[in-house]
Amino acid sequence: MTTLPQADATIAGDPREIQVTVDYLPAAAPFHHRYSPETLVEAVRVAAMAFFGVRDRQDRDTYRYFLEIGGTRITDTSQPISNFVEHGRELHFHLVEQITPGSAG
Amino acid sequence: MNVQPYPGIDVWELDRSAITATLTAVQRPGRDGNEGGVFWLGTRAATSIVRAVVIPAGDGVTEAPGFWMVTPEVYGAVSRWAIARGWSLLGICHIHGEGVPARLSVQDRNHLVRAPGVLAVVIGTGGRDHDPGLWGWYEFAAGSYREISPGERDRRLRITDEAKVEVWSADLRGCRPAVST
Repeated sequence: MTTLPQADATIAGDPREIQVTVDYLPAAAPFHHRYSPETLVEAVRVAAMAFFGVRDRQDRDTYRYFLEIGGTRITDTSQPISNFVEHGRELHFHLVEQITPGSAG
Repeated sequence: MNVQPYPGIDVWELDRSAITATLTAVQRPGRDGNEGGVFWLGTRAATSIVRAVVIPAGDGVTEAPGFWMVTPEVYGAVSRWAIARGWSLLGICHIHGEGVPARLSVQDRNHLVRAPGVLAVVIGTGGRDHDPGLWGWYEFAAGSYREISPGERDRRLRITDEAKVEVWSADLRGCRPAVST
């Protein structure tokens, strides 16, 4: 049941693949990768963070990176990326950082 | 297919019009005793050129005494606007209030964008220090912000009088040309 989509996704030039682009404001170049539609947002988020050399972290405050698309920050990263395709086979995200202040004192 | 996201920067070109626009923008929150700041955006390369001053203000931006924060939604709005122009975030310039040194605080170091080559600039006295030589200049490198010495700043910061930068404001709804008041 789970092998068929994975097998499909490994075929070069799989027509179902989605071309994903992620921009990050300080970077001069975006992250590009093709993913199968079933790929979870979290996988893209992690790959983009690695490409841009950033990571979630915590000290007194919490720093977490999110993908956003069309002005909407994606908080449920367990969704497949196909949920965000409106037309065609392309997705364009922006990587943004959320800082949540810790409690003072 | 993917290329290096952070080309090394030898020189930053900053037009005087960007300095003027920056000071004008940050003096507004400064007059109210709040912190505030601007983004410097432009083309990132060995010689990186500041093309625009973007002023985050309004919805999605907190300006308060000792505290300035821009929400990820505003960063997203600026990102969408900048990418369309092929521009990157080159620097973040913010003010400290009267009596607070023009140096990055621990909180600044943690809260500012952490990407190689990004400038963090601090203007003291609520934005009334007009001389960039009095500002604190820092570059993010090797995982933290390091101060740029006056000698290095003289060598790597080229102040020009060549082209007026664009001045934009940004909030949750997006970016639009700034209106002088």
